[in-house]
Amino acid sequence: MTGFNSITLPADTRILAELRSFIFRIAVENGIDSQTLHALELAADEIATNVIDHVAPEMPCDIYCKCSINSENKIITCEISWQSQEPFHPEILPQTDDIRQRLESRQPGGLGIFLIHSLVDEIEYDYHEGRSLIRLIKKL
Amino acid sequence: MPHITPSQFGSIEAASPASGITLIELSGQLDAHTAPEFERFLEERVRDEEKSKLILDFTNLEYISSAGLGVLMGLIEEVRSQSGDMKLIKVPEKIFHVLDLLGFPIVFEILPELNDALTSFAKVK
Repeated sequence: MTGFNSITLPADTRILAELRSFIFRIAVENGIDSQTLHALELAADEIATNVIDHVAPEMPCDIYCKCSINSENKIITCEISWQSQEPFHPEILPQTDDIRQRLESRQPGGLGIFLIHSLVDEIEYDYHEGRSLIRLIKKL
Repeated sequence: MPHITPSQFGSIEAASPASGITLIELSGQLDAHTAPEFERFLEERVRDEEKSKLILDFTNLEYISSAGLGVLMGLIEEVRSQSGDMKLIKVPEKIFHVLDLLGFPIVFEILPELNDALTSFAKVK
C-alpha cells in the first residue's frame, strides 16, 4: 500500500472545510481525478456532519480520518472514526424511489446518508474499542 | 480547538432583474457550518420582506452538502404557497451532479441562464 495520511479534528462544524482540504491535498498529491475527489470530500463531510449533529452533543469527541491509496487494486479508502458508546447504526437506507418521495413531500431527512451511499463504491461499518468507524471505498 | 479556517460562504441580493423578482448570488461553500447563515438570509427575504419569486445564481458556489440542500427544501413550499417559486441558475456541473443524484430536478426548476428563469417566471402570472 502506498500513499497514506491522517488527520484528527474536533467534532464541530468549523472543521468541515479542514476535513475537505485534507482530502483535497491527498487527492492532488496522488493525481486523483476531480470527480472522485469531490465524491470523497462530500461523503466524508456528510459522515462528519452526522457525527457532529448526532454524537457530539451527547459526548464531545474527535473525528479521525485516514486516507490510503492502493495502487495495485486501484482504490482509495477513507476511514472516518470517532469515540462512541455504541456502534453507528445507519438508518435503513432510503432507496431512490424513497428519496424522491421524501423530496416531493419536502422531508430533508436521509439526504446525507443517501448521498454517501451514492457517491462511493463500497461502504463498511465497524466498531472497535469504543470507536465507530466508517470505511469509504472508491475505485480509481 | 487547533487553528482552523471554517467554510466561507456568501449570499447577496443583487439588483432586481425584473419587477417582483429577487436575484440572490451564492458564493463559496455551503455546508453544515454555513447553512444556518444561509437559512437566516433566505428566511428574511421570504418571511420578513415577503419576497417569493427568487432566482438563486449558483455561478460562484464551489460546494454544497445536504445541509445546504435542506435549506432550499425547507423553504420551497413556503414560497410556492405565496404564489412564488425558487429557481436555480448557472449550476456548476459538479453541484448539478449532487442535485441530480437526489432528484432535485423533479422539485426545482434548474435553468442555464438568468433570462431562462425570467422567462419561466413570466409564463406563470
